[in-house]
Amino acid sequence: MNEDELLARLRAVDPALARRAPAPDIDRLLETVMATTDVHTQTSQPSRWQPRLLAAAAAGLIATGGFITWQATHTTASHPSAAPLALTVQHTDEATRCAAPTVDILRSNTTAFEGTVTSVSGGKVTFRVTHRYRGDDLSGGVTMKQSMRLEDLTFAPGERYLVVARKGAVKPCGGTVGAEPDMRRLYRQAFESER
Amino acid sequence: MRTDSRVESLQKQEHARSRERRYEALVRVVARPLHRYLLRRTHLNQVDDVLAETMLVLWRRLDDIPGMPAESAPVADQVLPWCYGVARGCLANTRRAERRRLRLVERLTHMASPSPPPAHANDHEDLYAAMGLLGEVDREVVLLWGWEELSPRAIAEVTGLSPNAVSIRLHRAKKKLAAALERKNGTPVGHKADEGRSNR
Repeated sequence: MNEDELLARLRAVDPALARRAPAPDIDRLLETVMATTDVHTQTSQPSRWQPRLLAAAAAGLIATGGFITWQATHTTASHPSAAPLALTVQHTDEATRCAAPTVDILRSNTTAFEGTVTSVSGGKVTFRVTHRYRGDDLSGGVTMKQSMRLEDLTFAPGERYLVVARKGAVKPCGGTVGAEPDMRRLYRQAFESER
Repeated sequence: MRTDSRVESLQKQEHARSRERRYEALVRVVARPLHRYLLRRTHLNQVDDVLAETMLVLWRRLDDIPGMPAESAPVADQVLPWCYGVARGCLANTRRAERRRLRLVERLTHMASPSPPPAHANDHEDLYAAMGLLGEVDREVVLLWGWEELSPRAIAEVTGLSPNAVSIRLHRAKKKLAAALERKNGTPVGHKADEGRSNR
Protein backbone atom coordinates (compact mmCIF):
# COMPACT_ATOMS: atom_id res chain seq x y z
CA MET A 1 0.00 0.00 0.00
CA ASN A 2 1.57 3.29 -1.03
CA GLU A 3 1.04 6.71 0.52
CA ASP A 4 -1.71 7.76 -1.91
CA GLU A 5 -3.69 4.59 -1.21
CA LEU A 6 -3.35 5.12 2.53
CA LEU A 7 -4.47 8.72 2.16
CA ALA A 8 -7.49 7.61 0.10
CA ARG A 9 -8.43 5.12 2.81
CA LEU A 10 -8.20 7.81 5.48
CA ARG A 11 -10.25 10.30 3.48
CA ALA A 12 -12.93 7.68 2.90
CA VAL A 13 -13.62 7.66 6.64
CA ASP A 14 -13.35 11.42 7.12
CA PRO A 15 -16.27 12.25 9.47
CA ALA A 16 -16.40 15.83 8.20
CA LEU A 17 -17.49 14.46 4.83
CA ALA A 18 -19.78 11.79 6.21
CA ARG A 19 -21.54 14.00 8.77
CA ARG A 20 -23.98 16.36 7.19
CA ALA A 21 -23.59 19.05 9.81
CA PRO A 22 -24.49 22.60 8.79
CA ALA A 23 -21.57 24.97 8.39
CA PRO A 24 -21.04 27.26 11.39
CA ASP A 25 -23.01 30.53 11.38
CA ILE A 26 -20.03 32.85 11.38
CA ASP A 27 -22.01 36.07 11.92
CA ARG A 28 -23.71 34.64 14.97
CA LEU A 29 -20.44 33.26 16.27
CA LEU A 30 -18.83 36.68 15.95
CA GLU A 31 -21.68 38.46 17.62
CA THR A 32 -21.69 36.03 20.52
CA VAL A 33 -17.97 36.37 21.12
CA MET A 34 -18.12 40.16 20.84
CA ALA A 35 -21.00 40.31 23.26
CA THR A 36 -19.30 38.13 25.83
CA THR A 37 -15.77 39.47 25.72
CA ASP A 38 -16.04 43.24 26.10
CA VAL A 39 -13.90 43.04 29.22
CA HIS A 40 -10.85 41.98 27.25
CA THR A 41 -10.78 45.10 25.14
CA GLN A 42 -10.94 47.37 28.14
CA THR A 43 -7.64 46.59 29.77
CA SER A 44 -4.32 45.19 28.84
CA GLN A 45 -3.71 44.14 32.44
CA PRO A 46 -4.76 40.59 33.21
CA SER A 47 -7.62 40.66 35.62
CA ARG A 48 -8.44 37.99 38.14
CA TRP A 49 -11.99 38.14 36.82
CA GLN A 50 -11.09 37.45 33.22
CA PRO A 51 -10.77 33.66 33.42
CA ARG A 52 -14.00 33.52 35.36
CA LEU A 53 -15.81 35.69 32.85
CA LEU A 54 -14.45 33.61 30.02
CA ALA A 55 -15.45 30.41 31.75
CA ALA A 56 -18.86 31.83 32.52
CA ALA A 57 -19.32 32.88 28.92
CA ALA A 58 -18.27 29.46 27.67
CA ALA A 59 -20.42 27.74 30.27
CA GLY A 60 -23.38 29.86 29.22
CA LEU A 61 -22.87 28.79 25.65
CA ILE A 62 -22.46 25.16 26.59
CA ALA A 63 -25.43 25.10 28.89
CA THR A 64 -27.72 26.28 26.16
CA GLY A 65 -26.31 24.03 23.51
CA GLY A 66 -24.71 26.52 21.20
CA PHE A 67 -24.56 30.11 20.34
CA ILE A 68 -28.11 31.06 21.05
CA THR A 69 -27.87 32.21 24.65
CA TRP A 70 -27.49 35.90 24.19
CA GLN A 71 -29.58 36.14 21.10
CA ALA A 72 -32.35 33.72 21.96
CA THR A 73 -34.91 36.38 22.63
CA HIS A 74 -33.45 39.01 20.38
CA THR A 75 -32.23 37.34 17.25
CA THR A 76 -33.37 38.19 13.80
CA ALA A 77 -32.74 34.78 12.35
CA SER A 78 -36.00 33.13 13.28
CA HIS A 79 -38.36 35.78 11.89
CA PRO A 80 -36.87 37.03 8.68
CA SER A 81 -40.19 38.07 7.20
CA ALA A 82 -40.97 41.23 9.25
CA ALA A 83 -40.97 44.55 7.40
CA PRO A 84 -37.98 46.81 8.08
CA LEU A 85 -38.47 49.47 10.72
CA ALA A 86 -38.04 52.95 9.24
CA LEU A 87 -36.28 55.56 11.36
CA THR A 88 -35.45 59.17 10.56
CA VAL A 89 -32.74 61.31 12.04
CA GLN A 90 -34.54 64.20 13.70
CA HIS A 91 -33.62 67.55 12.22
CA THR A 92 -32.64 70.37 14.57
CA ASP A 93 -31.57 73.88 13.66
CA GLU A 94 -29.27 74.17 16.61
CA ALA A 95 -25.62 73.37 16.22
CA THR A 96 -25.47 70.93 19.07
CA ARG A 97 -22.55 69.53 20.97
CA CYS A 98 -23.73 66.32 22.55
CA ALA A 99 -23.09 65.41 26.14
CA ALA A 100 -22.01 61.78 26.70
CA PRO A 101 -25.06 59.47 26.70
CA THR A 102 -26.35 58.34 30.06
CA VAL A 103 -28.60 55.51 31.16
CA ASP A 104 -31.49 57.98 31.52
CA ILE A 105 -30.99 59.42 28.04
CA LEU A 106 -30.96 55.91 26.56
CA ARG A 107 -34.03 54.84 28.50
CA SER A 108 -36.06 57.73 27.12
CA ASN A 109 -36.11 55.91 23.76
CA THR A 110 -38.63 53.39 22.50
CA THR A 111 -36.31 51.49 20.14
CA ALA A 112 -32.77 50.36 20.90
CA PHE A 113 -30.61 47.88 19.07
CA GLU A 114 -27.13 46.97 17.92
CA GLY A 115 -26.81 46.49 14.18
CA THR A 116 -24.34 46.11 11.36
CA VAL A 117 -24.67 48.55 8.48
CA THR A 118 -25.39 46.59 5.30
CA SER A 119 -25.64 49.58 2.95
CA VAL A 120 -25.46 53.36 2.83
CA SER A 121 -27.16 54.90 -0.15
CA GLY A 122 -28.65 58.34 -0.87
CA GLY A 123 -28.83 59.36 2.77
CA LYS A 124 -30.44 56.05 3.73
CA VAL A 125 -28.61 53.66 6.04
CA THR A 126 -29.75 50.05 6.26
CA PHE A 127 -28.99 47.91 9.32
CA ARG A 128 -29.08 44.21 10.02
CA VAL A 129 -30.05 43.98 13.67
CA THR A 130 -27.76 41.77 15.69
CA HIS A 131 -29.16 42.51 19.12
CA ARG A 132 -32.45 44.10 20.08
CA TYR A 133 -32.51 45.88 23.42
CA ARG A 134 -35.93 47.49 23.21
CA GLY A 135 -38.80 47.79 20.75
CA ASP A 136 -40.89 45.62 18.50
CA ASP A 137 -39.74 42.92 16.13
CA LEU A 138 -36.70 44.18 14.24
CA SER A 139 -36.03 40.98 12.34
CA GLY A 140 -36.80 42.64 9.02
CA GLY A 141 -33.91 45.04 9.57
CA VAL A 142 -33.96 48.80 10.07
CA THR A 143 -33.56 51.68 7.68
CA MET A 144 -32.54 55.16 8.80
CA LYS A 145 -33.04 58.27 6.75
CA GLN A 146 -30.44 60.94 7.47
CA SER A 147 -31.69 64.48 6.91
CA MET A 148 -28.72 65.64 8.95
CA ARG A 149 -25.59 63.97 10.21
CA LEU A 150 -25.27 62.72 13.73
CA GLU A 151 -22.43 64.33 15.60
CA ASP A 152 -19.08 62.56 15.13
CA LEU A 153 -20.78 59.59 13.50
CA THR A 154 -20.33 58.38 9.95
CA PHE A 155 -22.11 55.19 9.00
CA ALA A 156 -20.00 52.75 7.01
CA PRO A 157 -21.00 49.35 5.62
CA GLY A 158 -19.76 46.45 7.73
CA GLU A 159 -19.38 48.57 10.89
CA ARG A 160 -21.47 48.02 14.00
CA TYR A 161 -23.53 50.71 15.73
CA LEU A 162 -25.73 51.07 18.75
CA VAL A 163 -28.88 52.90 17.76
CA VAL A 164 -31.70 54.42 19.79
CA ALA A 165 -34.85 56.11 18.53
CA ARG A 166 -38.00 57.52 20.07
CA LYS A 167 -41.17 56.89 18.08
CA GLY A 168 -39.21 56.50 14.86
CA ALA A 169 -37.00 59.56 15.37
CA VAL A 170 -33.26 59.30 16.00
CA LYS A 171 -32.22 62.30 18.06
CA PRO A 172 -28.84 63.86 17.27
CA CYS A 173 -27.86 63.53 20.93
CA GLY A 174 -30.02 60.56 21.84
CA GLY A 175 -27.19 58.06 22.29
CA THR A 176 -26.70 56.57 18.81
CA VAL A 177 -23.02 55.70 18.67
CA GLY A 178 -20.43 53.29 17.26
CA ALA A 179 -20.62 49.89 18.98
CA GLU A 180 -17.71 50.23 21.38
CA PRO A 181 -17.43 47.98 24.40
CA ASP A 182 -18.03 50.75 26.95
CA MET A 183 -21.16 51.89 25.09
CA ARG A 184 -22.43 48.32 24.87
CA ARG A 185 -22.06 48.14 28.60
CA LEU A 186 -24.08 51.34 29.00
CA TYR A 187 -26.82 49.98 26.73
CA ARG A 188 -26.96 46.79 28.74
CA GLN A 189 -27.13 48.79 31.93
CA ALA A 190 -29.97 50.87 30.50
CA PHE A 191 -32.07 48.13 28.95
CA GLU A 192 -31.13 44.72 30.23
CA SER A 193 -31.43 45.57 33.93
CA GLU A 194 -35.11 46.30 33.39
CA ARG A 195 -35.87 42.84 31.99
CA MET B 1 -6.54 68.40 29.57
CA ARG B 2 -10.05 67.60 28.43
CA THR B 3 -8.84 67.53 24.80
CA ASP B 4 -6.10 65.06 25.78
CA SER B 5 -8.56 62.71 27.40
CA ARG B 6 -10.87 62.97 24.38
CA VAL B 7 -7.98 62.14 22.03
CA GLU B 8 -7.01 59.24 24.25
CA SER B 9 -10.59 58.02 24.28
CA LEU B 10 -10.80 58.23 20.48
CA GLN B 11 -7.51 56.34 20.18
CA LYS B 12 -8.82 53.63 22.48
CA GLN B 13 -12.01 53.37 20.45
CA GLU B 14 -10.05 53.09 17.21
CA HIS B 15 -7.84 50.43 18.74
CA ALA B 16 -10.90 48.47 19.87
CA ARG B 17 -12.47 48.74 16.42
CA SER B 18 -9.27 47.69 14.71
CA ARG B 19 -9.03 44.65 17.00
CA GLU B 20 -12.62 43.71 16.21
CA ARG B 21 -11.94 44.02 12.48
CA ARG B 22 -8.83 41.83 12.73
CA TYR B 23 -10.72 39.25 14.76
CA GLU B 24 -13.61 39.17 12.31
CA ALA B 25 -11.18 38.64 9.42
CA LEU B 26 -9.57 35.80 11.36
CA VAL B 27 -12.88 34.12 12.17
CA ARG B 28 -13.96 34.26 8.53
CA VAL B 29 -10.76 32.42 7.60
CA VAL B 30 -10.57 29.81 10.36
CA ALA B 31 -14.13 29.06 11.54
CA ARG B 32 -14.99 26.51 8.86
CA PRO B 33 -11.72 24.54 8.99
CA LEU B 34 -11.91 24.51 12.81
CA HIS B 35 -15.50 23.32 12.61
CA ARG B 36 -14.39 20.44 10.35
CA TYR B 37 -11.48 19.68 12.69
CA LEU B 38 -13.92 19.31 15.58
CA LEU B 39 -16.50 17.38 13.54
CA ARG B 40 -13.79 14.81 12.91
CA ARG B 41 -12.89 14.39 16.54
CA THR B 42 -15.91 14.78 18.76
CA HIS B 43 -19.62 14.18 19.05
CA LEU B 44 -21.83 16.31 16.90
CA ASN B 45 -23.56 17.75 19.95
CA GLN B 46 -20.25 19.03 21.36
CA VAL B 47 -18.88 20.59 18.19
CA ASP B 48 -20.57 23.99 18.50
CA ASP B 49 -19.68 24.36 22.17
CA VAL B 50 -16.00 23.57 21.66
CA LEU B 51 -15.92 25.84 18.61
CA ALA B 52 -17.37 28.71 20.66
CA GLU B 53 -14.81 28.12 23.39
CA THR B 54 -12.03 28.04 20.81
CA MET B 55 -13.23 31.34 19.38
CA LEU B 56 -13.24 32.95 22.82
CA VAL B 57 -9.63 31.88 23.31
CA LEU B 58 -8.69 33.22 19.87
CA TRP B 59 -10.26 36.58 20.72
CA ARG B 60 -8.34 36.74 23.97
CA ARG B 61 -5.06 35.73 22.35
CA LEU B 62 -5.47 37.55 19.04
CA ASP B 63 -2.12 39.28 19.41
CA ASP B 64 -0.30 36.02 20.11
CA ILE B 65 -1.34 34.25 16.90
CA PRO B 66 1.72 33.63 14.71
CA GLY B 67 1.21 34.89 11.17
CA MET B 68 -1.67 37.22 12.17
CA PRO B 69 -1.16 40.45 10.20
CA ALA B 70 -1.74 43.83 11.82
CA GLU B 71 -3.93 45.18 9.03
CA SER B 72 -4.68 42.83 6.12
CA ALA B 73 -6.72 39.60 6.22
CA PRO B 74 -4.80 36.60 7.54
CA VAL B 75 -3.64 33.78 5.28
CA ALA B 76 -5.23 30.47 6.26
CA ASP B 77 -2.05 28.38 6.04
CA GLN B 78 -0.20 30.82 8.28
CA VAL B 79 -2.71 31.07 11.11
CA LEU B 80 -4.56 27.75 11.00
CA PRO B 81 -1.96 25.45 12.61
CA TRP B 82 -1.86 27.58 15.76
CA CYS B 83 -5.66 27.81 15.79
CA TYR B 84 -5.92 24.03 15.41
CA GLY B 85 -3.67 23.82 18.46
CA VAL B 86 -6.13 25.98 20.43
CA ALA B 87 -9.07 23.84 19.28
CA ARG B 88 -7.11 20.74 20.28
CA GLY B 89 -6.57 22.17 23.76
CA CYS B 90 -10.24 23.15 24.16
CA LEU B 91 -11.26 19.69 23.00
CA ALA B 92 -8.92 18.08 25.53
CA ASN B 93 -10.47 20.19 28.31
CA THR B 94 -13.97 19.18 27.22
CA ARG B 95 -12.95 15.52 27.12
CA ARG B 96 -11.46 15.73 30.59
CA ALA B 97 -14.66 17.27 31.91
CA GLU B 98 -16.70 14.65 30.05
CA ARG B 99 -14.59 11.82 31.48
CA ARG B 100 -15.11 13.19 34.99
CA ARG B 101 -18.83 13.40 34.37
CA LEU B 102 -18.96 9.87 32.95
CA ARG B 103 -16.97 8.47 35.86
CA LEU B 104 -19.48 10.01 38.20
CA VAL B 105 -22.43 8.66 36.21
CA GLU B 106 -20.73 5.27 36.05
CA ARG B 107 -20.27 5.22 39.79
CA LEU B 108 -23.88 6.17 40.27
CA THR B 109 -25.33 3.60 37.89
CA HIS B 110 -22.66 0.85 38.06
CA MET B 111 -22.98 0.58 34.32
CA ALA B 112 -20.31 1.15 31.70
CA SER B 113 -21.39 0.86 28.13
CA PRO B 114 -18.81 1.17 25.35
CA SER B 115 -19.41 3.99 22.94
CA PRO B 116 -21.11 2.79 19.75
CA PRO B 117 -18.94 2.47 16.65
CA PRO B 118 -19.58 4.85 13.77
CA ALA B 119 -22.38 3.81 11.42
CA HIS B 120 -20.02 2.93 8.59
CA ALA B 121 -17.50 1.17 10.83
CA ASN B 122 -18.04 -2.26 9.26
CA ASP B 123 -16.92 -1.02 5.83
CA HIS B 124 -13.62 0.18 7.26
CA GLU B 125 -13.12 -2.19 10.13
CA ASP B 126 -9.55 -2.96 9.07
CA LEU B 127 -8.63 0.75 9.04
CA TYR B 128 -10.15 1.38 12.48
CA ALA B 129 -8.30 -1.68 13.81
CA ALA B 130 -5.05 -0.41 12.29
CA MET B 131 -5.56 3.08 13.72
CA GLY B 132 -6.17 1.46 17.09
CA LEU B 133 -2.59 0.15 16.97
CA LEU B 134 -1.23 3.71 17.03
CA GLY B 135 -0.67 5.73 20.16
CA GLU B 136 -2.84 8.80 20.71
CA VAL B 137 -0.24 11.31 19.53
CA ASP B 138 0.75 9.26 16.46
CA ARG B 139 -2.91 8.88 15.55
CA GLU B 140 -3.41 12.65 15.79
CA VAL B 141 -0.30 13.24 13.68
CA VAL B 142 -1.59 10.90 10.97
CA LEU B 143 -5.05 12.45 11.02
CA LEU B 144 -3.66 15.99 10.80
CA TRP B 145 -1.74 14.81 7.74
CA GLY B 146 -4.61 12.87 6.16
CA TRP B 147 -7.64 14.96 7.05
CA GLU B 148 -6.35 18.48 7.64
CA GLU B 149 -3.69 18.02 4.92
CA LEU B 150 -1.00 19.66 7.04
CA SER B 151 2.75 19.51 6.45
CA PRO B 152 5.02 18.13 9.21
CA ARG B 153 6.00 21.69 10.12
CA ALA B 154 2.35 22.71 10.57
CA ILE B 155 1.59 19.51 12.49
CA ALA B 156 4.47 20.42 14.78
CA GLU B 157 2.82 23.77 15.49
CA VAL B 158 -0.49 22.09 16.32
CA THR B 159 0.93 19.41 18.57
CA GLY B 160 3.89 21.18 20.15
CA LEU B 161 6.31 18.52 18.86
CA SER B 162 9.41 19.45 16.87
CA PRO B 163 9.10 19.21 13.06
CA ASN B 164 11.75 16.51 13.11
CA ALA B 165 9.84 14.47 15.69
CA VAL B 166 6.66 14.84 13.63
CA SER B 167 8.41 13.62 10.47
CA ILE B 168 9.71 10.56 12.28
CA ARG B 169 6.38 9.79 13.93
CA LEU B 170 4.48 10.32 10.70
CA HIS B 171 6.81 8.06 8.73
CA ARG B 172 6.59 5.28 11.30
CA ALA B 173 2.84 5.60 11.74
CA LYS B 174 2.19 5.45 8.00
CA LYS B 175 4.40 2.37 7.73
CA LYS B 176 2.63 0.72 10.63
CA LEU B 177 -0.81 1.47 9.21
CA ALA B 178 0.10 0.24 5.73
CA ALA B 179 1.59 -2.97 7.12
CA ALA B 180 -1.48 -3.65 9.26
CA LEU B 181 -3.84 -3.04 6.35
CA GLU B 182 -1.76 -5.21 4.01
CA ARG B 183 -1.72 -8.06 6.52
CA LYS B 184 -5.47 -7.81 6.83
CA ASN B 185 -6.10 -7.65 3.08
CA GLY B 186 -3.44 -10.17 2.07
CA THR B 187 -1.56 -7.61 -0.05
CA PRO B 188 2.15 -8.45 -0.35
CA VAL B 189 4.12 -6.47 2.19
CA GLY B 190 6.91 -4.34 0.75
CA HIS B 191 4.85 -1.90 -1.27
CA LYS B 192 5.98 1.05 0.75
CA ALA B 193 3.58 3.50 2.39
CA ASP B 194 5.86 6.44 1.78
CA GLU B 195 5.91 5.87 -1.97
CA GLY B 196 3.63 7.66 -4.37
CA ARG B 197 3.47 11.13 -2.80
CA SER B 198 5.69 14.09 -2.66
CA ASN B 199 7.43 14.82 0.59
CA ARG B 200 5.03 16.95 2.66
